[in-house]
Amino acid sequence: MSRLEARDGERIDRSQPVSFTFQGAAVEAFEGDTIGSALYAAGRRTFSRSFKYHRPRGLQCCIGHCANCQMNVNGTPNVRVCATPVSSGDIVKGQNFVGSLDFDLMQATDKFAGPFTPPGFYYKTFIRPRKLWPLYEKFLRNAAGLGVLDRKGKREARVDVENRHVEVLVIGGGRSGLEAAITHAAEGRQVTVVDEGPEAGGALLSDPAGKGVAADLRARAQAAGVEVIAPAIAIGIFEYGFVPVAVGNLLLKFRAERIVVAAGVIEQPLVFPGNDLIGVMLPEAAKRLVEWWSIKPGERAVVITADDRGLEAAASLRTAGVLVALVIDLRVEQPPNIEARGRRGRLHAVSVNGETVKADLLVMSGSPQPNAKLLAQAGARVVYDASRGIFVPESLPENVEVVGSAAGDVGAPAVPAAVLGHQGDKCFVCFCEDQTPKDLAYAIAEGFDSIELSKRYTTVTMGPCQGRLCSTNAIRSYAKTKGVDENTIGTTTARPPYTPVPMGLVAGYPQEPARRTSLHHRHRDLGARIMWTGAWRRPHSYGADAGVEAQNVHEKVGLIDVSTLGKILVTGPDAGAFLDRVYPNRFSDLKVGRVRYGVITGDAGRIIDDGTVGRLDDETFYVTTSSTGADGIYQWFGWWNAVWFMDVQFANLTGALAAINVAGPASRELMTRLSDDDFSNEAIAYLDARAVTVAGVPALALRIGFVGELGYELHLASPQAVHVWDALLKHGADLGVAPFGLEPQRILRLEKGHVIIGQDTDSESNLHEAAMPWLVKNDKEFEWVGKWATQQVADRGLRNMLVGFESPSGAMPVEGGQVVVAGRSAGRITSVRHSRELDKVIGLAVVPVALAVDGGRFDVQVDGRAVGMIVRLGHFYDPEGARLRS
Amino acid sequence: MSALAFLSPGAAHDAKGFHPVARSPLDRRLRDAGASFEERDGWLVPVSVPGEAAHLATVGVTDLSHLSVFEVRPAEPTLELDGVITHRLSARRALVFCPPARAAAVREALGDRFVLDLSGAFAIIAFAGPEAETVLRRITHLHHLPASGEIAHINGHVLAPGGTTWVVCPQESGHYLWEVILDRASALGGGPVGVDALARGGSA
Repeated sequence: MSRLEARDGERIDRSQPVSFTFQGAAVEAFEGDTIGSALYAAGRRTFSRSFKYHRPRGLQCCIGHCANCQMNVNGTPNVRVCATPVSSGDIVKGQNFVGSLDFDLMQATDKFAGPFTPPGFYYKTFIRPRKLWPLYEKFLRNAAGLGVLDRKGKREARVDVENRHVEVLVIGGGRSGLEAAITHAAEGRQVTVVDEGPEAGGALLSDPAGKGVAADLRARAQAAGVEVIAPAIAIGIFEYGFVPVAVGNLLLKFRAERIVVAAGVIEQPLVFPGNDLIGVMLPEAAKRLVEWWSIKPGERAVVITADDRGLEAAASLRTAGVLVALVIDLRVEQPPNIEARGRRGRLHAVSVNGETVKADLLVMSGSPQPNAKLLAQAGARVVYDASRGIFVPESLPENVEVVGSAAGDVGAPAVPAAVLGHQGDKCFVCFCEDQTPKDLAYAIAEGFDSIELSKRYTTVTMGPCQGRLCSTNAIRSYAKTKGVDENTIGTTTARPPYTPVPMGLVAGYPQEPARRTSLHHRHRDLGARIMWTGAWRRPHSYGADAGVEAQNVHEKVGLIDVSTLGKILVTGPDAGAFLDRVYPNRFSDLKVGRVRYGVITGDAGRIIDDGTVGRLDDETFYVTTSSTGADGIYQWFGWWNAVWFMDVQFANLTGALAAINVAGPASRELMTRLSDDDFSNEAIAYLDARAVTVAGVPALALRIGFVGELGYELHLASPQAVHVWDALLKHGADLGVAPFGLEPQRILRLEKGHVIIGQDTDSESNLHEAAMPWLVKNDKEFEWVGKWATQQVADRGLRNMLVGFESPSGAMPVEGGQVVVAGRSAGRITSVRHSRELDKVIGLAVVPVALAVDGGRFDVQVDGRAVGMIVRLGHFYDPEGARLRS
Repeated sequence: MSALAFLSPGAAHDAKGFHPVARSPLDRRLRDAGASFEERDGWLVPVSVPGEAAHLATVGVTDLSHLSVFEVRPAEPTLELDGVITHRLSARRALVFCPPARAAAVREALGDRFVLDLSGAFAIIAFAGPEAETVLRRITHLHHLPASGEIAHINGHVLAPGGTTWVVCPQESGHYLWEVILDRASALGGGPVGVDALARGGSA
C-alpha cells in the first residue's frame, strides 16, 4: 500500500470504505477515490497494454486525458479509471491483452515486430495471397484495438437528454472560469459553469495553497447565482451556441447566448526514449496522487520540466516523502540526451547526458498547451507562438470568448526539442497509437508530408486522447524533420466529441414516434397483428388467413379502420376553382353531396397522391388523401395558394376525424340498425356524401367502394370512434360483421384493379401510363399543376402501361419482380395476391405498352424460372360495378 | 345540422338507444394506470389515479384531452374569458381551449370568424409539480412559453397556464407522447394523476 497518513485537503473520506473487484480480487478504497487511485494505492502499476506493441502502461495524466488507464468497468470497455469515481461493487477488468495484464503474450510484438510494423504495414505486408486477407484481418483486429464490446449486451443504464438555455455558459470551472462567471452574473446574466473535474476549482484543487482559493471562488459564484455543474464535460461547440455536455448518463444540450471557454491547459509529455515507461507521468498526475488521494507515487523521483508545473509537482512529492533526486528545468538548460530506462516496463533509472540517476518516478512537463480544442472545433484559428512553443487561439467565433490559460496565459515555458534523446528504448510521440518520431519520418519519406495526411496514414492523433497529448509533439516532429516551422505544418482538424462519449448517450433514450388511430387498442383487443405503414401502426389482419377476412366482406359485412386517410378541408369562395388547379380533373362542377376520385400530379406530371373529394356545400370540399400523403398534400395546397392567392382556406383534419369503412352486402342493413337516416340506394347513391347520425354520433358517410362492395365510409370525430366501432360490432354480430385489416383490403382492392399510390406507382408514374387518362381534363379554364408535362407524355407516345394480370399456372411472382419480354427486363410486378373469391393469382404490373392488351403475355421470374402471365384489362371482380351500386 | 357537425365530439347525442361517450386518445393508458373515470360533459374523464399524491410530490401527469379546442382565423381579437386559453399559432391562426361545458358560449363569442371545432384533434397532456420543468426540458428545447415546435420528435405546442404545463399534440401521437412524458416523469419519481388532483395541485 502506498497510501499516506491523512492529509489536510485530501479528497478521500477514510470513514467511508468502498470495496470493488479488479480481475476478480477485492480492492479496498475510500469514498472520493477514483478506480485508478484506488488501484494505485493498492499497488497496481500496470493499468493497460498499448495499442500496437502491447507495452505496459501506467497512470500518466490522472485527469482523464490519456488512454493509459482504460479498463473495462461493469462491462463497459475503454473507461478511463483515473477519472472514474469508485463505486461499491464495481467489477473492473483489464483489457487488450493475451494472458494477463502483467504478462501479456502479445508484448512479443514490442520485442520482435518493430522492424516489420512501420506505418501502414498491414496495407503492404498482408496483401498476398489476396484470399487470405480475411484471416489476416481477423488476426490484426484481434491483435490491435482496445476494449471489446459485448455484442449481445443490451443497454442497461438509463440515459436522458435535457435541454438547457442559458445566457452565459462557462466551460471550465478553474480560477479564470469562475471569475468570468462571477463577473457575468454580477452584470445580471444567467450563468452556468460546467467543469470536467469532480468539483469546480481546476488546477487550484491540486495546489495546497489553491484549495482555499477555489472554495472561496465557488462560494462567491454560488452567492452570485451561478449554477455550477461538475463533473460535466462539454463535448463540442456547435452553431448558434449549442453545446452538448455529458454529465454521467445525462446529456445536457445547452443553448447559450454567450460561451466562455476557460478550459485551462493540457499538460504535454516530452519525447525521449522510454517516455512511456510505467512511472513516467505528468505533473498533475503526481500532484493529484499526493494532494487528492494521499498516495505516495514513488520513492525516488526525477523532474524534467518546461515550466513551473514540474516544480510544483516536485514540491508536492517532497511533502509526501518522495526523494526528488534530480530536477531539470528546461528553461535553464536543455540536455540533448535524456533516456528513461526500465525493467519489465517499469522505470528504474533516468539517464541525463550519460549520467544515470536511479528513480521509479519521472515527472515530465513539456510546454503546456492552451486547451483550445473546443474553440478550434467551433471555428477559431489556432496559431503557433514559437517563443513559448504553444498554440494560441485567435479569431474566435461570434459570441465565444476565451479566458485564462486557455487563451494562452501560461507564462513563458521553455520550448522543448522535438526529441530529447536519440538512442535506447522507443520514444513515443503518440501513446494511444504507439507512434514514434521514426514512424512519422517514415511517413514523410513515403510522401505523407502533411500532418493531416499523416494523421490518416500513421493514425497519429487519432487515438482516444484525440490529440491532446500528441498533437503538439507530432507537429513539432514534422517541423523538425521537414525543416520548417510549426505554423507551416499547421494543426489537424479538431472535431467533436472533445472526449469519447458512449454512443448511447448521444443517441439518447430510444423513442419511436408512432401514430395510432383512436381505435388502435380496439384492434389489439381483437387480436390484430399490427404493422407499420409509414408513421402509422395499423392492423395487418385479425386472423391467420387474410383471405377469410376478405371473403367476409364479399359475403357479409366487414369493418376496416381507415382513420389514417388524410383529411383536408378546403373551403372558401374559390375552393372549387382551387381544386381545379391542383387536380387534373374538374371539381368546380361537382354537385353538393357528391364524391369524385382524384389524383394529384406534381409539376413534372408525376403522380404524387390520390383520394376522394366530396362537396359538402357550395364553398366547402372534403378532400381525402392517402395515409402517408396527408401532411405533404396539406403543404402542397398551401404552397400553391401562396402563388395563386385564391380566396380559400385549408385545414388538416386528419387526426381530428376517425374513419371506418363499413363494406359488404349486409352493410346497409347494419347502418339502418344504428341510424334513423335513410341508407337506401335512392337516399345515398354510389358516390354520394351525406351527413348522417350513427349510434348518436354525427358522421359524414361517403358511399365509395375501394374494396369493391356496397359500402359506407364513415368519417366522425375521433373521440367517438370507439363508441361507433363497438356499436357496429355489437349490432352487426348476427349479420356476420367482422373487422378486416390492410392485407385483406389489398386483396379486395386488387380484385377491383384499384391502384395504391406508391405501391403501383413510383416517382416516374404519370396519368397516361398508369392507365388513368380519363382523369385528364385539358378543357379547364386554368392550367392545372402538371398539365404541360402530362401532355408531353401523351405527345411523345406511351412506352409502358400499368395493367392487370393473372397467373394461369397459379405461380405467385414477387412484388417488384422483373417482367421479362424476349429475355430482357421490360417492367415489374407492382402488386400480386391470391384471390380466394376468384381462385386466381392476380396482380398489377408495369409492362411495355405493346403488351397492354387483353390477353397479352409476358414472363416473370418465379423461383428462378420464367413463368407466363396473361394481361387482363378492366376489373377482375364485378366488372360492371353492380355490387358497388346495389 | 351544420355541414361540419361531424367534426364536433360534442355534437353527439342520445339517439336510437345509443349513449355516445367521447374517449380521449389516452383513455387506455390511463386505464392501464388504474384510473377511475367519470362521465363529464359527454367525455370519460380520468378523475383519479392510484398513487397520485406521491406522484404530485415530484411531477404528476394527467390527460386534459377532453377540453374543447377551436381553431379560429383570424386570431384577433383574443377572447378574454375566464377559463379560456388562447394560443396564437400565427398572426392569422389561434387555438382556443375551454372546458366542454363552455364550448357553446365560447363558439358564440368567437363570432363570425372562421372557426373549426378541433376538440377531437389533440391530445392534451398536462403536468405539474417541482420536477415539471425538468420533464419539459427532457422532451423539448422549447422554453419561452407558450411555444410551438418539436417535442420528442413530433410537432406540438407547449402552454403554461396557471402553474401547469400543457403539451398539446395531434391525438394520433398522444399515446406515444404520453409514454415519453411518463417515462421522463417516472425517472424523477412522478407518474400519472387524475384531473382533479392536478386541478388541486395546479389550476387545470
